[in-house]
Amino acid sequence: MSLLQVQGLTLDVPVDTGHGRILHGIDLTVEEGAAVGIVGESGSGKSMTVRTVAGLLPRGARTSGTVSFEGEQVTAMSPSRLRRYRSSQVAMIFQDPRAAINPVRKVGDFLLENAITNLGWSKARAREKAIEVLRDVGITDPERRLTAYPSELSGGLLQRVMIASTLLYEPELLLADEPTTALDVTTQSTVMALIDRLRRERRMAMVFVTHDLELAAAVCDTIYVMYAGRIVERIPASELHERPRHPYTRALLDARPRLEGREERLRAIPGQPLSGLEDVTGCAFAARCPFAVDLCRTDEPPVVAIGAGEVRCHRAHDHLWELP
Amino acid sequence: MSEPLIITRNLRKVFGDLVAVDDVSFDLMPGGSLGIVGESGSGKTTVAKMLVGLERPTSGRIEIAGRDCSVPAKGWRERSHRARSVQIVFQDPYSSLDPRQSVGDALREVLSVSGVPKNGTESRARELVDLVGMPERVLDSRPSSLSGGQRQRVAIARALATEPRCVILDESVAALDVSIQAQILNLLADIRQRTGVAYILVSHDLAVVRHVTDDVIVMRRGEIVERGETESVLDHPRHEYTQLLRESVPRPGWVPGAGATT
Repeated sequence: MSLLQVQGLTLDVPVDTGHGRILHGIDLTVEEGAAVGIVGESGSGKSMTVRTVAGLLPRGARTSGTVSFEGEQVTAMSPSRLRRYRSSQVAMIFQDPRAAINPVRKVGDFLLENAITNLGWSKARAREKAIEVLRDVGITDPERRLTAYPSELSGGLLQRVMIASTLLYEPELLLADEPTTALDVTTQSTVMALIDRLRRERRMAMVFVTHDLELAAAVCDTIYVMYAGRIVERIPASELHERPRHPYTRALLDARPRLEGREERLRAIPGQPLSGLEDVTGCAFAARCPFAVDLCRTDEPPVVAIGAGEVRCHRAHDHLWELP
Repeated sequence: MSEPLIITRNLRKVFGDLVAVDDVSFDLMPGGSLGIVGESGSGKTTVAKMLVGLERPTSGRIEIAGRDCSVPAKGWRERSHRARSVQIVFQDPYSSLDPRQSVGDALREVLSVSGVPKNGTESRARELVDLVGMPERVLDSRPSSLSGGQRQRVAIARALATEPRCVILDESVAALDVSIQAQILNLLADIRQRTGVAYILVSHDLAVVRHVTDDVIVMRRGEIVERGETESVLDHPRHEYTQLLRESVPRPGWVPGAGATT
């Protein structure tokens, strides 16, 4: 049994006119200890997918399909079960650690709260463990940091505190939503190295949400590419650069300027990213796709298995990049 | 050989005990493109703000188009001269536009302040939206009905309204989605080719810097640690900090933490 199995997940959220669908049938599997990346642009539904896995749904949201964690349906958990699930089995870190930590409580209070109230640890044990995990994430002088306020720490340090908080109880699954996007590149590199090391040491699985394909490929085993509330491709991270199959994946890789060498013009993708809310007939990417044919505009593309991956494209077998 | 458009010498800015910018000197030639690279606290944005007059240097000299711009402009004439020399586009297109003002009004306001006669503002506003690749009907739109990429096009159009000789791009593409970022970068290249405007790109993103600029300075904690042609600085960084920056960029085969000491 997989650690996490998402099948045919749809998510409808309240909008002005009733409900709007933002996730359209997500299939996603995470094995124990594996690292899975979800990449996509704004509105692609990547954050809402992991929030649904964490059981963090907006008020009035409706789901269908399954989100099964160790065989248990997350969307059917009672509030108390959900609390236990989020305080011991999964952990989530967000883009902005400042928004996730109470600014008027000390770092120590933040770290100890969950351990004492939800896990029932004694204060002494929780404190001892907190110091240990702070040291694990490379924070020097952890005793002193426990009495610091969040405003006294830099963004990079605070994100380390967030990571430390997840290590206190050693969850089986880490949900990381753009955890390094707000950090400087050099800090991103060290924080990412830290997450990667700790995750491997503890055999913790991870779902890593990012807009940065290169970053996802560097720390994940499998990449899911999302567009307009749909998964358009699943690909082993090692094949991402060499063998992207979906035109959107390929276009995303091509649109970024290169660090080595300089091209005269970037291969921009025309138009704008579509959000899941918009009505789509056929393939959601068809309007921006250079390879689209009539079929793409009328029929929803099937899921086609190719090699170790899957792609949702009518032209999956057409070897598009080799065409003149 | 023409004169530099912008000359800075020994620029220094102190906030309380913090030396934000220390001994920064560089030249920008007309039509040139200079990158200022650095991370949080490097002073790169403070340099940009001093160039447009949003911060006053503690000491040092800024000369733009032959005029001393180290001190605040005195009088309308001097201000309008500076406005026609340098404009700035900020990172966040959601906060840099007035939500109550239509795109057309935003452009017309800048045009009339900069002395374009009333009967000329309408056609010039249309030219500007065309220059940034948008249809004329956006003149009647408010920012809230535009996407992030469209707003950034408007911010660029507004910056170009005074026909400045230099536009400062302060992380102007950093908040955009990859596919939109590429569109804006191509647009900036086209505009530079068509108008001969010079750019100063303030950015932490080395790939974007490589794409847009000819020369680069690398800043750390207020000081310039390395400078040169963008290509050679990025291909053969000499300063260890530039090397670390480069090593930190994810790319095929990259391992996080590469080059770092912790």
